[in-house]
Amino acid sequence: MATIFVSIPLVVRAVAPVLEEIGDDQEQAARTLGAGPVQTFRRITLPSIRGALAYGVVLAAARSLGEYGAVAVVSGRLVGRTQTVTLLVQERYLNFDQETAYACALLLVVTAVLALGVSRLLAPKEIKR
Amino acid sequence: MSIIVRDVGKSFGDFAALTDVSVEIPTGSLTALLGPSGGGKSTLLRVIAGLESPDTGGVEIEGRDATRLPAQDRGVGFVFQHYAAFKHLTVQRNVAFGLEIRKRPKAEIKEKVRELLELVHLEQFAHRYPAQLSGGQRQRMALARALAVEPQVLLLDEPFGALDAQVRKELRAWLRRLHDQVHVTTVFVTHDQEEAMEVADSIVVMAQGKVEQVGSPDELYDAPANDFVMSFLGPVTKLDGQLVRPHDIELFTETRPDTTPALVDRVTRLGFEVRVDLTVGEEEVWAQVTRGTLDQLGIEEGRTVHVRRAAPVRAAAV
Repeated sequence: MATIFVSIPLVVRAVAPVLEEIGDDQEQAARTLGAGPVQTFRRITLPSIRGALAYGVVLAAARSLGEYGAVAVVSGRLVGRTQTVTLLVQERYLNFDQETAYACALLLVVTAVLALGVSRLLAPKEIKR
Repeated sequence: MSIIVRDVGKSFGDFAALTDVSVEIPTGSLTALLGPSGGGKSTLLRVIAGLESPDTGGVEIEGRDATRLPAQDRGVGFVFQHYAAFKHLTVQRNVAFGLEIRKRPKAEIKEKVRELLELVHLEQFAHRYPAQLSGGQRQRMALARALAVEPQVLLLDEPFGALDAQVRKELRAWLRRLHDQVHVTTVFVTHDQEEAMEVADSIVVMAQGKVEQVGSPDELYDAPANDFVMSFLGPVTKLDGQLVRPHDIELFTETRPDTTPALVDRVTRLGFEVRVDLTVGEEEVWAQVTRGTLDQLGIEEGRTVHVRRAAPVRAAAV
């Protein structure tokens, strides 16, 4: 929950400018051609923002990986239940289990780099420019 | 009557876009909504299409009250100024969209799309994406897409507004021919009087959210209801405090009944036409004459001529 709260703006930031740029002409055109609101969203709106949406989600996922503060405050850090990897790293480290801590941290780094790579691939042209 | 608009009013905040507008558009006609920007013509078109709902009044399409009907159930085709092409679909799929929504059999869709692409001369572009087409081609695609669902009325919002002059001229003539072929009741919005006069059977002149006059291009040109319509539909100049068409001013070298002496300030040759700027008393007037008349009368700058109005012209409104 806490993670969604801090990372959702990234999705919005990625999608909003694309929505703004395409305007509502296409949606209106779909309506005059007989499409209902649901059909219009599924067949016109969603495909137009697909790239931006995926980009935003990956970006948000990458951001979530490293989230510590918000989760630490809200989750209660119950080991094995509400503990995220970042919290695990901290917990292990404080327990002098450096090896596990480093391993988990490395795992996080690799995932984050992967996510970054994927986001580069997915980035809509408008954002790359 | 195909479309009946009754006492429609529509405001956006404090701005009254339409005030008690009533228009009747006969079945099978090609009608232009003409007027200056912000005159309410696009709003009226969108009210007919169901893209805006009127605050007051009602809309009837082919005898059916459509006031509360959502856009998708009105049986209208709408063409937007900026094409509104579905960018992620090919030309073929764009045109097929309305038919796919209606779940028509695949074979029928294929046949219909082929027919329409032929009609708009885009057969060879069926598998391209809109981004790979020129503006004119995109607009023709948008037209085919609108026609695919066999609408009862076809509505075009400044369809050629975003195109360059050459393409615009071509598409105008093409739209006229298309209408003669398809006969669907068509309404298009334009702020270009030449476009309206060239393409439409009848013109609805609108300004400041009101209908100023409805009539055929000739009626509007020859018998404008007021000064606004007169000056909007063609060039005007003022003689004796009345609006006159510059080509209705007669020039003579000697006095005739009802003539006034005038000083020739400037003669501008524009090919076949010649523009003559005159000073009549304190007023500046200009007349449009042909080259032949000019040479015949030997009019040149600095000379005094005698002018009068040729045809009887209605008195200018107060």
